[in-house]
Amino acid sequence: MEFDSELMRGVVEPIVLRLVAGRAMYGYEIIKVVNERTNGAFAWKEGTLYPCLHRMEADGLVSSEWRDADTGKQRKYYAITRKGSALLKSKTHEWTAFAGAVNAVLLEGAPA
Amino acid sequence: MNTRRDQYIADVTSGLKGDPELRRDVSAEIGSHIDAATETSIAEGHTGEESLETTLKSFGSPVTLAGDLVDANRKRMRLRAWFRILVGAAVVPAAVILTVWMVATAVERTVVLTNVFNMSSGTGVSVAPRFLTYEEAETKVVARWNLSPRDHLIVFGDRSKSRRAEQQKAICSLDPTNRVFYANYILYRLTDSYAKGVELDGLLHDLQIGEQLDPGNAYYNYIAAGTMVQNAGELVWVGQGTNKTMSYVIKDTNLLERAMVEFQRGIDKPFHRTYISDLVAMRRSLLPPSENVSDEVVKIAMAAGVLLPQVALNRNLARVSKEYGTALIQEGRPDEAANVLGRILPFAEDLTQDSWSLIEVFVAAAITGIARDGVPPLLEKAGHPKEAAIVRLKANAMAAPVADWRNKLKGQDFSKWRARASVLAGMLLPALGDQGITEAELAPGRRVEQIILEQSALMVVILGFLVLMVVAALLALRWRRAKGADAAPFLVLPDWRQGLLIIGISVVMPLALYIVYTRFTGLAGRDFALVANPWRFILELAGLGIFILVCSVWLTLRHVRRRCRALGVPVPATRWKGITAWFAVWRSDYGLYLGTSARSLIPAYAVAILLLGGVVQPWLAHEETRWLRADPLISQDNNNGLTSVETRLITRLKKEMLEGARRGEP
Repeated sequence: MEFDSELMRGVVEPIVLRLVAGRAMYGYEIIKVVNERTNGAFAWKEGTLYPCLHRMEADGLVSSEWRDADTGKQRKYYAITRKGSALLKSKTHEWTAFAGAVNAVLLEGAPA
Repeated sequence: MNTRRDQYIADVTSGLKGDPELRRDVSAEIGSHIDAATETSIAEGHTGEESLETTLKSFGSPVTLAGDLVDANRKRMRLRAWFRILVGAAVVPAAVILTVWMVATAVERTVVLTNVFNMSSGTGVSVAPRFLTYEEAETKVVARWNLSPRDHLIVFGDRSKSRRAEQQKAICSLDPTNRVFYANYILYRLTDSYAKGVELDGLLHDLQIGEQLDPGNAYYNYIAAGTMVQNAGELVWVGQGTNKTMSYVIKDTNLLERAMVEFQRGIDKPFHRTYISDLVAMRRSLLPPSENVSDEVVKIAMAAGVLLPQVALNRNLARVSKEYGTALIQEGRPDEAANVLGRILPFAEDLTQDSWSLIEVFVAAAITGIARDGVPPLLEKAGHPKEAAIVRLKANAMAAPVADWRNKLKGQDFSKWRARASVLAGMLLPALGDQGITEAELAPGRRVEQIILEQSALMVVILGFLVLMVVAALLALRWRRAKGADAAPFLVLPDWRQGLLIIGISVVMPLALYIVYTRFTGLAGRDFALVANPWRFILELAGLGIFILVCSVWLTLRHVRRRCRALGVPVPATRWKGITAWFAVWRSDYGLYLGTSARSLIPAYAVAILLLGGVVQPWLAHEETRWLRADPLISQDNNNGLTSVETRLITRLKKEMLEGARRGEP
C-alpha cells in the first residue's frame, strides 16, 4: 500500500525520534527497523532518510557520533537529544489526539 | 575501489564541496550504508553488481538526493563556514597579535628592570643595582603614563634645554612664586655649578632671589655660606691612617668671613626647608598608581635619582666652621670663636628637622658628631665651659640614635630575611637593619616575585604555542601543495563538547590544580623567597607548561585521528607509526592525515593562546597589582618617594635625634 507523500512526510521525524529514543541507531539500521515493524508498509527510501536525519541534527533534535561497529567498521550513530525528546513527546500527544479524532469520524458508523 | 559506488557518492555529495569535512562525513555515512546494504543483498544470494545497483536504486535519483542533502545541510554549512571564517580571520590573527603584544610588553618591562638592576646572578641573589638615570626614567614613564605637558614639565622639567638647571628652572614658569619649584631649581643650579666650577656671583644672585621669595627659610643662606666656604679655601686631609684629620686651608679670608655672616643669618631664620619631600610628593601624585613592579621600580629609581648636592656643602660648612673657630681662638678672638662654634649644633638640628632621605639624616648626624667631638674642647679653650657642657650633652644625645642603629646593624643576621624576602626587599633590608619587619610584611613582595615568574612561564608557553602554530601552518601548507586540490588537508572543527574537553583537560584543569596547589595547600613553598629555592619554582612551572603544551597537542591529535578514521582518511595503524609519520615530512603515505592534523591544530593553539593570554595573563597582572599595592616594603607610601621601612627608620631617627637635642637643653 502506498501512503500519501504529504502524510508520510509528517510522520518521518516522530518515527525517527521514537526509534533513536530507545538507543542510538545508524541510518541503515533505522531503515531496516522501520521496514520490519511496518511489514514493509513504510518502504522508506534511503534518499528520504538521510536528508531528514541531517536536518534533524542541524535542528538539534538528534546528535551523531561515529562509533566502531561489531564488524570493526565505523558507523554513524544517531541519538535523541533533550530537545528531540520534548518534540517527540509533543508529537506523540498530537498524533494520538489527531488519530483519535480522525478515527472518531472515519470509523463511526462505518459498515461492519 | 568501487568506481560506480564512489562516483554515486561523489555525485550526491557534490553540493557539499564547499565544506570538505562535512562532505567527507556525509560521504562516509552514505558509503557505510551502501556497503552494509550491498553485503546483506550478497548474503541473500545476489551478485555483487546486482546488489550494488539495487542499493543505489533504493537511494533514489542522485540529482534529487544531492539537492535534498544540500537543503538539509545548508544551515550547518552556513554555521560551519562562519566558524571557519571566525577561526581564520579572527581567532588565529587575534592569537598572533596578542602574542606579539605580550612579547613586546614583556620585553619593555624586562628592559626597564635590566636597566635598573644588573642581574649578575642567575638566582638573583647577588644583585648590583644601577638605577635609571632621570633621563632614562623619563623615556619609560612618558611612553607608559602619557603625562600632560604641564605634568611632564613638573616631573622632568623642560628637557629641550641643554643644562639641567635650566630644565628645572623652566618649572618655575608655571608659578614664579612657588617656593618648592625655586628651591628645586637651586639644587640643580648647584649641581651644574659643581660640574662646571662654581660661578659664585651668579649663584649668589639666584640665592638672593630665593631668599626674597622665601624670607624665613635658612636654605638659601646655608647654601650661600657653604658655597662661599668652598671658594674661600680648601679642605685637605692631614696625617696618615687613623690619625688623619681634616684641615681647612684659607685662601680668601674676606669670603670666609662673608660665609660666616651668611651662616649666622641662616641660623637666625625661623626654619630650614629644602622642599625636596614636597616636590617628590607632588611629582608622585602626578603619576598614575603602579600597575606592576617595573612601574614601581621606575618610581623608586626616580626617587633614588633625586639630587642632594647640598649635603656635601652643609657637611663642609660645619667642618670649616669648626676650623674657623679654632683659627679665631688662635687669633685671640674667643668670643667670636664661641659664636661660630655654637652654630654647628643648631645647624644640625635644622638639617635633621628637614631631612627627607636617610643620607640627609646621616649628614645631620655627622655634623652632630663634629659638634660632639670637636666643639666642646674648643669652647672650653675659648673660656665658655658652660656652653661646652651643653653642646656635649645635646650632641651626645643627638648623635646616639644613628650610632646605636649603626652598631646594631653590624651584628644583624639577614639570612632569615633573604630566605623570605623578595629580591628587592632583600637588597633594601640589610641596608636599613631590623625595623621590626614582620612575616606579614614580607609576604606580599614574595608573592609579587612569584607572580612575575609565573607570568614569565606563561609567556614561554604562549610563545611555544605560537611556534607550534607556525610549524603546523607550514606542515599544512606542505601537504596542501603536494597532494593537490582534491585531497587537500581540511580543517576538522570539533564540536563544542570536544573543544571544551580538550581545553578543559589540557589547559583549565592543570591551571586550576596549580593554583590550588600554590595558593591554598601550603605545600608549594610559597612562604619562602624565590632565591631560597629557585629550581623548585622553575621545575614546577616548567612541568605545568610542558603538560599544557603536550596534553593539548595530544588531545587535539587524538580527536583529529579519530575523525580522520571515521571520514575514511588513511591514518597510521599504530601509535609508533603515527609518531614517525610526523618526521617523514617530505614523503609519507599519510599526507592528508598529517596535513589535516596540522591544519586542525592551528585553531586549537590559537584558542589556547587566547585563553592563556586573554584570561590567565590579565588575572596574573591583576594579582601582581594587588600584591604590589599591598607590599609595605617596596610600595612607596605617603607619596614621599620612600618605602615604608625607610620612612619608618628615618622618622624614628629624626624623632630620637630631635628629642635628644631637647633633652640636652638646660
